Amino acid sequence: MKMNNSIFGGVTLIALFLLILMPVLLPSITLATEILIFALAALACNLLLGYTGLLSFGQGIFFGGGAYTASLVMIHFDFGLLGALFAAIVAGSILAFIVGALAIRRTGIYFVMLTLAFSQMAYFLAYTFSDWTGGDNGLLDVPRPSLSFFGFVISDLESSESFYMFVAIVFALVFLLARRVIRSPFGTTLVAIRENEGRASAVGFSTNYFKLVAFVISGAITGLAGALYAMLLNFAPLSNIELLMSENILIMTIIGGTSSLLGSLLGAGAIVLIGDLLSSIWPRWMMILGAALIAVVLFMPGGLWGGLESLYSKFSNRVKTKQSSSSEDK
Amino acid sequence: MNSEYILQTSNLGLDYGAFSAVGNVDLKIKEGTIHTVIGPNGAGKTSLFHCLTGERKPTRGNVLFNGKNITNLAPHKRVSVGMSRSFQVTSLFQNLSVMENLRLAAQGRDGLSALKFWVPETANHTHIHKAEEVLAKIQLESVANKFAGELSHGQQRVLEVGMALCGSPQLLLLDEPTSGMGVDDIPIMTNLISQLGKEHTVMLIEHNMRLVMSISDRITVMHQGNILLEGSPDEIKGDDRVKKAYLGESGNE
Repeated sequence: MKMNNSIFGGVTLIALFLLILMPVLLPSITLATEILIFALAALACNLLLGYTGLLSFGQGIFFGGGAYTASLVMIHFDFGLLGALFAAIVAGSILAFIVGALAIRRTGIYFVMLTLAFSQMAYFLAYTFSDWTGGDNGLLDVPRPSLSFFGFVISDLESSESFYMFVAIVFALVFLLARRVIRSPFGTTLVAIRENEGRASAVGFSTNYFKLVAFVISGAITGLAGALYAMLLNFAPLSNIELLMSENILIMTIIGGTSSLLGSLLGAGAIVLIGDLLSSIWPRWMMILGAALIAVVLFMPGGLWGGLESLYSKFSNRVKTKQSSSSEDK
Repeated sequence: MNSEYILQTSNLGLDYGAFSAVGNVDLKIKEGTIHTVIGPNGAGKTSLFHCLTGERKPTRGNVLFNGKNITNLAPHKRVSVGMSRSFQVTSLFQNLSVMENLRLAAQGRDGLSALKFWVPETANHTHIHKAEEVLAKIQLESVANKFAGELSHGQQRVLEVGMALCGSPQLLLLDEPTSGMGVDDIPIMTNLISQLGKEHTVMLIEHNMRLVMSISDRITVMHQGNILLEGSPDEIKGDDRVKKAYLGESGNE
C-alpha cells in the first residue's frame, strides 16, 4: 500500500533481486530451489491466511495432490513438463474447490476443523490407494522432462542450475499474478472479508463466492508447487500429503509474515534453511522450530517481514527527524 | 399494489419459540419520506428491522420492496435491489482507510463483478467517484486517509451511515444512527439524515426523541410487537396512548 502502486514495483523488485541473489549466497542450488518451491506454497497459503483470514490445514492436500497428479501423468501418459504442471494446477484447483466449497460453509474454529478433517482423509486415501501413490514408499522414478515448446527443446533441466532457473521464472510469474490478485477488486474484497465479514456481506458481497475463488487460486498455486517438488526430488513421497506438510506450510507463512507476499519467501527461506542447517547437527531440531514459532507469534506479530518493515521505518524516521531538525531551526 | 409505497410489509411476524417479537405488522413506507420507527425497549423495533434487512426470516407475512416480494431474499442480495443498511453497533473495516471503506462499500453494490482478479481495483472509476461523492457528503474529507479505527466515535457513526450510502440505495435503513453518540455530535447526525432525506427514502429506528421529532415525516410507534400508532410527529407528540406505552399505565396518573 505504501510502496509502489504498480505490481512490478516495490516488493516485486525485492523478490526478483532475491531470486538472483539466492543461488549465489546459499550453500547449494538445490536448497535454493527447494526454498522457492515452498515459497510458492507459502504464498498460496498467505492468500488465504493473510488476505482472506482463512486458516486452512488443507494446503498439504493440494501440495500432495499436485505432486501425485504431475507424477502420474508423466509416468503413465508421457506428459511433458508444461503439460504435467498444468495437470497439477488443475488438480490443485479441483481439490481446493471440493474442500473449499464444503469448509467455507462454516466459519471460525469449525472451518479450521473441517480443513483438518479433509487433510486427514486425503492422507489415508493416498495411503490406501498404494497402487497409484506407492503408499508408504512414495511414488518412485518421477521424471523431470525437458522444457520444450512445440518440439523445440529450450533446456533439458537436468542440471540443478537450469532447474533452479526454471523454478525461479515460474516463481516470478506466480508472484506477479498474486500481486495482481491482491491489487484487484477481488483482492480488496478479500481484505474486506478478513476485516469484517458481516459488513462485507451487508454492503453486498456474496462472501462465500469470494472465499471459494480464493481457495481455488490458492489450491492451483499449491498444486503447482507440489508438482515442482516431485520433479526436484524425482520422487513423490507420502509425506507430501501428510498433515505435517500443511503445518509446515502454515508455519512458513506465519513466521514469514502475512502482511506481504514477500513474507512468504522469507518464511520459506528461514524454515528450509534452519531445517537444512540444524538437521545435520541435531536430529531433534524441530524443537527449535517450535521455539522460533512461539517467539515470532509472541514478539513479532508481523512475522519476519513485519519485523524488517518496522526496523526500516524506525531507521528512516530517525533519518528524517535528523534531517528536519538540522534543516529547520526552531 | 400501490406504487407510492417503496416498502410494504403485510402481516409480518417473527416468533422466538412461543414469544412473538413481532406480531402482525403492516408497515408502509412512502417513497421520499423519512420514516422513523420508535417504541419502548422490547417493542420489537430491532426484530422488525432484522426482518427488513433479511438478517432474520420472518415467521409469517411478507415484505414487498417496489412491489417485489423480497421476504426470502438473502441480506447481501438486497443491496443490488436498492436497499442498504447501517448497523447499531458500528461495523467498519477498522484497519482500512476511510476512503477504502467507502470504496469497498461502493464496490459491493456491483456484487459478483468484484470477482475480477485480473484488473487493478483502481480501474473502476465509478466506485472511486462514488466514494469521493459520499466522503464529501458526510464531510470526512479531512480524515480520508486515516484508518477507520482511528476516528472518534462520532465520526465512526457518520462513516457507518456513509458506507450504507455508497450502495446508492433507494431505501436507506438506519439502525439507531446516534447510538452511543455524545450530545455534541448528535446535531451532525441530525443534519446528515435530513440531508439524505432529500435524495433517498430513509427508514430509521431511533431513541433520540429530539432528532426523531425534528426530521421525521412519518413516525410509527411500536408496542409489544405491534404497531400502536402511525402519524406525523405532531400527531404522535400529542397522543396519550404513546405516553402510556412509554411510561406504563401509571404514567397517566
